Amino acid sequence: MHDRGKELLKGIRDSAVVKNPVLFEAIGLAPVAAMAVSLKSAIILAVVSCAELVVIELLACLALKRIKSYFRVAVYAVLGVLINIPIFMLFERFAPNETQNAGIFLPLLAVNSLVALHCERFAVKNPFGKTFVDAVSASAGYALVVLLVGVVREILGSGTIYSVDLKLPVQLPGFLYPFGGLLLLGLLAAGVKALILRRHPDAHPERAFDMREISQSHVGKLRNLLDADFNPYDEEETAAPAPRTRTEKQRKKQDAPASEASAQAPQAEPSESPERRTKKAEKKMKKRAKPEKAPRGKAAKAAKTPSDVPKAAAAAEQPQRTRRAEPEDYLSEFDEILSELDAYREKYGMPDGADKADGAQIPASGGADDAEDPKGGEKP
Amino acid sequence: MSILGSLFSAALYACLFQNLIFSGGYGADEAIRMAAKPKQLFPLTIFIVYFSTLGSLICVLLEQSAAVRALNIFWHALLFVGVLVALYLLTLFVVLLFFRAKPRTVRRLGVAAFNTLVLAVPFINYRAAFGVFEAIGAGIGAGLAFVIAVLLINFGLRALDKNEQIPKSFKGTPAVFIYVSILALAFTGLTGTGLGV
Repeated sequence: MHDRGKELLKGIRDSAVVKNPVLFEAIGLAPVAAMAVSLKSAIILAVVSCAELVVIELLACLALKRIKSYFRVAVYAVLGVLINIPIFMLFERFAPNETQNAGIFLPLLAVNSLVALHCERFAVKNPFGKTFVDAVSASAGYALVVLLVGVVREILGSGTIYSVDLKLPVQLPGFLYPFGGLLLLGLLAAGVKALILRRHPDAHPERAFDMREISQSHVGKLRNLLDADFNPYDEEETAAPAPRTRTEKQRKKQDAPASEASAQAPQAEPSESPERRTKKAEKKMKKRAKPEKAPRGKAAKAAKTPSDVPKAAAAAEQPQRTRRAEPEDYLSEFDEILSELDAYREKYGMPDGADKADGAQIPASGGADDAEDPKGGEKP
Repeated sequence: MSILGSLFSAALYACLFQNLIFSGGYGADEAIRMAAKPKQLFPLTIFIVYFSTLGSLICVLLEQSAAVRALNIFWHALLFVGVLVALYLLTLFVVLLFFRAKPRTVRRLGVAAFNTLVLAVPFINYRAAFGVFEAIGAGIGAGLAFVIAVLLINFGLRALDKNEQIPKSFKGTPAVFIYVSILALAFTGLTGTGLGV
């Protein structure tokens, strides 16, 4: 019971603070930067966003799990606008000026990325209880940030709070622009991060915003338009490759002391391998797309025999089939990666390479191995 | 000539003089997250330009009807979201049926179709009473604005990532937000409005 309580608290802390949607995940920035310019408009924004997030996330958890993700995204947008309309009508009665001042940002909340990302990352993968906790804590974290930014911008930019004049000697209307909102968000994020790091040194709020791929080419290739991997919602691939296609030899190689070898391997390679893998996979796809060459000479004669004609036709159809069957694609790509790994191991004299050359091919630590190897002098 | 003029002026307005991302804040989160994964910029931009231009055009054509013009802003929102959903489903159907796209490709379509930048364009057309060619220009300009924003943010992120002098609490999103706010300040200068300082 005590553990469950701790787990619940940790979940709330993670969703609301450590992985705060605005401050650390950079989600739902547009309305905060542009619309939260006063406390009243911040309240409207917070209420609409919270209602949207909680209702849609719970609906996604209860009813949308079986629908494919690319249909769900459209459903979120429609649900968002349908939830917005009654709330807007309610606010128009009680705060007509603020609702008008919000301009087009209230209707734009229908496609707020906060909703789509939380639903896809969390709601469709978890049970109702966990989803509820995530929805409530994430919306609370979002609302707190919105209200705080709204209050500070109203004080600094207009010299008022909840439309009450504070009679400040200086006003900075620049804070009412989106750049002012972003600046405040940056300072607020830094302050919250400093507090988190002081109280929970093991928490890593910076991990919520993935910056590992920033140095990749920003141009890309035209052919990547339909082939490059893209995972905006951090989904797991449904057709994950299972290691069932490995041969016995590959299994044996893995069972060998791989840890020892990986320690000796150069560090630059792992960062390069995904690009190489993509290129190889692309090449393989191209190869598959090409029709197989017609057999020549004796092979052609043999193929022309009546019994072999259906086999040849089946062989000609084979590439087409493999191209359409996606799981096989993944498996073959995985096979390719494994064989590449083997070649790499052999190149640097890892597990099975060791019995061939006694570690002589290892470039970095070869000297040390020589010293330990009693047959060092007999090497070719 | 006047057609081209209205198209180009609307495009320039949307991407430079009133950059929708920096001056308006529309699609700022998508731009920041895309800047952190720049490999996807080119394909995603094509889809964003496609959805913003076509969505904007269809919505402007619908606006020609007096009954649609008489609707208030929230019924307009429902209409615009409906147009985007229809366009998205149609594109999905074409991409899946004719191009046999993989599931990972169609994820990109969803992000491109449903974001504040794409939905903002029909609203801007509606507010500014743009015509057909201006609407097309605004759609193209929104896509260009996205490219400009992502490239500028990406260059900054690379520099911020290498900078070891940034205090630990400012590393990550705090520094990114402050950098983007400086860019936004520069683009706000292009709009010609005074900051009242």
